[in-house]
This record gives sequence, structure tokens and C-alpha cells, in this order.
Amino acid sequence: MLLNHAQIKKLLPHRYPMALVDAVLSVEPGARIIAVKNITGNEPCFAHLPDEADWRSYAYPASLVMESFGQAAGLLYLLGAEPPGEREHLVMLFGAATRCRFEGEAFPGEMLEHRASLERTFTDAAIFRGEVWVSDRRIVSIERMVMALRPARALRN
Amino acid sequence: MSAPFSCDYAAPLIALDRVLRCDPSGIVTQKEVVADEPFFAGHFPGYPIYPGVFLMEAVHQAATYYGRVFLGRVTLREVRSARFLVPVFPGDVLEADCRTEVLPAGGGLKVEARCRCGTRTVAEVKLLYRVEDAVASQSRTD
Repeated sequence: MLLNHAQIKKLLPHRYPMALVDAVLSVEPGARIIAVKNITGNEPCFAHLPDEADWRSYAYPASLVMESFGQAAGLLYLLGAEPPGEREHLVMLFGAATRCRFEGEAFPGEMLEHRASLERTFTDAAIFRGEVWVSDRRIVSIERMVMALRPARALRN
Repeated sequence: MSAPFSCDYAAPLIALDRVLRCDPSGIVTQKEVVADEPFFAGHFPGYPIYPGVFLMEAVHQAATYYGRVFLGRVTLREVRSARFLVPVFPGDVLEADCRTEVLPAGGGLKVEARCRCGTRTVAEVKLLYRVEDAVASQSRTD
């Protein structure tokens, strides 16, 4: 493991229940990252499902798969940012996405593996692409995700 | 038309409070973004911002509702495009205005949505769905 959860929290501002990356397995700064999130039956999004809910109700929501991928992409960006002191002052917001194909779903007991690569950076944005895998199944392919970089102080009300 | 939504998800993912309109041409839903939503504690501590993916979720829940009314179970196949234009904050009332099109020859359902807070467009989302055979979708038990 390259980054544990405590180290991730030093880089990302996301906190419970929106801290959706558990660990980083590998990174090539400025190029690519592999990061994981385990899904459990205790996810807040399943909290109020009734006992009669069927197995499909426990598919991890596509929007949270995207959010989790976006956080992995954010880590990739932040791990390559120079100088490192700048990292804590930036917040990444989901700016845009195109052609994200959903080929499968993930359920409690399974692990999302995000494979993100950095395509381009601008002063106020970064563009990624990548895939989400669950063991040997690819469940999402993402052609393009744009993250907007904003100074954290600009977002505090 | 106003109807309660029996949602597959609960907190932190109720992205639809009421259905304002639902007819074959589309659906309009509304969500009040209130400060005590549990996810605001972590997104972000001290500066709550409605996660952009939840705007997509709002459209997805609207599409799911539309599917149940007119088509059966629909499954997300592709986020063709999504643009998040303006951050959404607690206190905003979000409307997802979705235009729907059933594609010919089993091509599924296309949903083009404009998300608004008041008169401001905050996001534009295009989603594609598979329309599933209701019987087949219940046969898998693994």
C-alpha cells in the first residue's frame, strides 16, 4: 500500500460519509494511479433499505462510483502538484464528464479499483480518463473527466 | 402532478423530494438541498457544497421514476455527458428538468436534463439507459 487512509485525509478535504477512497496502491505522479474503495453493507446509502429490498438494491450507486473515481483522480493530481505546499489549499470540484460507460455494478463485499490517468492539466483544471474494476470485471470506463481546481478559501461562506 | 418517491436509496442519496410533472415527454423533479443532509458533514467540513455527482444522481432518480411509470426497470448504461456549471449550496432548491426519448429498435432511453436552482442553470446532464425486461430482471438470484 502506498498511501493509507490517514495519509489520504492529509491530501483530500473529503470526510465521512464522503471520504470515498480507502487506500492508494500505486501512483506514478503526473501520470497514473491505482486506488481502491471497499464497499460494505454498512454504507450510509444502504442504511434505510427495508428488509424486503432485493439484492439489486445493494448496487453501489453510479454517482458514488463516479465520486470515488473523482477522488482517486484528485489524489493523482495532488501527488504530482508542485510545490507540495500548494496541495492543501486546493479543492477539486467535478467540472464535467463525457462518455462514462457503465458495464457492471458493485455490491457489498466487493472492492472498487480505480485506474485513473492524467491526460492534461491547466492552471484551474485537470482532465483524466480511466476505468473502474471489481476484481476481474471492468464496471465503468471513463473517457474524460474534468476536475476544476479552486482555492479552498474561495469556497468558504 | 406531485407524488412521493419510493426510493431505492436512503441517506446520503435522496436526490428527489417530489415529482412536479411526469408525462411521456419527460419528467421534472424537485429537491430541497437542506443544511442537515448527512453528507455535508464531509463535503466539506466548514464549507458545505452539494456534490456535483448528486446533480447527476437527481437526474438518475428522475429517470428511474420515469422508467417505472412508462417503461419498467431502467439501468444506467452511459453518462454521455455531464457539465457542472455552478456550485449548489444548502438552501438551494434544485429542479431537474428532463426530456426523455425512447430510442428505436431497443436502443434504450435517452434523458437530457437541465438542472436549475431558480433561474440559474447549474448542470446539464445526458444519460442513456437500458430498458430491462421486467421478468428477466427478477430471474437472476446470485
